[in-house]
Amino acid sequence: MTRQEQIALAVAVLALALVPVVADDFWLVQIFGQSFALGLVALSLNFLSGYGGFVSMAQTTLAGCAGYMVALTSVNAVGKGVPLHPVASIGLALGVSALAGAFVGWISVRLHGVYMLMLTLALAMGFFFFAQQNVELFNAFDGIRGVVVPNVAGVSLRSPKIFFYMSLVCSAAALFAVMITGRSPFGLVLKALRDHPRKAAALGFDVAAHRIAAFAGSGLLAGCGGIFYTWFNQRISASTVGLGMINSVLIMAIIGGLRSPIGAFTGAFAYVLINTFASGLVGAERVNTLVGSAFVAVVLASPDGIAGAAKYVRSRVRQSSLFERFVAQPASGSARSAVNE
Amino acid sequence: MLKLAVLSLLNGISVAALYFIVASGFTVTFGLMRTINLAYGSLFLIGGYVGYQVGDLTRNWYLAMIAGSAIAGLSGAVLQWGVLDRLRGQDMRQALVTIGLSIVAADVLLAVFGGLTYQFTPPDWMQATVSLGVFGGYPAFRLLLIALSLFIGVFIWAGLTCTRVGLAIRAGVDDREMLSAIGVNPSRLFVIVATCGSALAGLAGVIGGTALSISPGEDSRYLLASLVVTIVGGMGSIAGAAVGALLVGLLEQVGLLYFPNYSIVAVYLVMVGVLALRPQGLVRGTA
Repeated sequence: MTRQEQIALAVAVLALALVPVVADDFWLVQIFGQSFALGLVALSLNFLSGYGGFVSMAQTTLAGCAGYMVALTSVNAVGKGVPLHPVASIGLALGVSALAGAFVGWISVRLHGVYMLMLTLALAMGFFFFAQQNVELFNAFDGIRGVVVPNVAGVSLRSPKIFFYMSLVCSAAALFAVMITGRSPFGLVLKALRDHPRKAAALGFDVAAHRIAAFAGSGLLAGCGGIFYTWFNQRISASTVGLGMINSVLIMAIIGGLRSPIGAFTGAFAYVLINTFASGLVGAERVNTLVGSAFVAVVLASPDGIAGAAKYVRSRVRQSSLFERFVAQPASGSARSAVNE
Repeated sequence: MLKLAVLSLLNGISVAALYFIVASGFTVTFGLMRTINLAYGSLFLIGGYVGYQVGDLTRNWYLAMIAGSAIAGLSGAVLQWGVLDRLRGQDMRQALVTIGLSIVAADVLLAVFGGLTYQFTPPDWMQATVSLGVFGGYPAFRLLLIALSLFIGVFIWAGLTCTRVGLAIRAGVDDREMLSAIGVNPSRLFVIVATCGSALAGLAGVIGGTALSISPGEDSRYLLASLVVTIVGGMGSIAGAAVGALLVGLLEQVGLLYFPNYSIVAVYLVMVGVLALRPQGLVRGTA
């Protein structure tokens, strides 16, 4: 992280910290709180794809694991699970999402590019159908309603200002952690794996262990987002981990720019704004057409998303395409041989 | 109890037949052309809905079937020619674009056809029940579906191995430049393959709408089935698609009978097991 980036991030966080002075509760929770929660999930995808070149569709599912866990360990309206102390509940939720992340990383450890995308998509949709089918644990289609957000010193963590600051601090910390990781030895090995897995392996790095650790870390990030999102909605159901949400997280990450960690939050913010306000323009039912078309346009025109476009304008130097950089390099032929090894 | 088991076995095979028809197109276009199209679920829905509309107007199920396949085939051809061929070799962008298009397609289809569940009425002779002796009766339509999927499987296999077009397709996969040097246009060839695959998805839409039903959200179910079948069976292999579809269909239906809360999990355990032991899939691709 360069000094310039550090200053930019600090200024942005300080500016956001002043938002409650002017914004009402609707903006604090519905717009900013929701953006931070979803941004954390998108950040977990940006982390994986930006550093490791793994485009995982399972991040929503990892967030959902934490969300279900926190719902099941809180007081809720459907009487499922066992209420625990909030600290234990959050700790368990993050543990489960990190474990689930490691599991996804382990299953897909030999896959690259679009093969990994297909497998993680299949896993994610399998979890959705499972959650929708299973009554015992997930309460099937209805999900866990009326999740009670814990109180600290008599104040609910769901009260607008508290929720806003909590999600802001957590997002800033996660963003900082991801940027620091990019410069750390671990992050450098991930980038080496992205650019040339075989060379990295030949240098003696344990490819599998690094990949699994990266997925576990992304599970932690997604888990934070999942907990906030469950608190935000005060419920979680199968549709929270369904195809619509899986696609939405991908859209946020791509629109914001897969390679820039901040892009996750700009993408989430843009998505929440469109979702909230475009319904007034095109009707609530047709928002997906708008969002989907915008997504297709971004993929075709600017693979680096908003962040890429901004960078382009700033430096006026043409960036090499994101996808050619980290996905097309094992051209389809060698990706296949990597699968067959 | 045995009767129930046999019936659920037959249900599993007929669902597998449906999955196979959708997945065979997916696996052939992906395995042979290295073109990934994640909008197959949408093509299934388009075929089903348009077929229903035509069938409703003309009261003719055969016309519905033809219309459903034709519209899906046409959409697939436009998609291949207009978008996917331009992103040749960039499979990740192909995947993302088709995901985006399937979001739009699902939304537009919902706007046009609403959230209703449609079911086709097949011709009378298909509605008969075939007697299976001590095991009771079984709908003739589902047995026809199983036969049709077998026919399609053999047809694709024979087409790829024994015809000049199949030869050209396999050659185009191995060396596109050389193929065009000897006077074949690979882009046009791949549009033909995409059209056939998409038409199969549309056909499955009408047949699936007759054997089961068609409604919003079915697209994700068939996309998922295609992915799992392809991953389990091996990319680009028709035999693999058949094995994968059978495995998924049987586990799903038999699981529904014996462990209804967890039948999906069984499918995934098998998928994970296959990936751990044979990452290339059960049957290796042909090209």
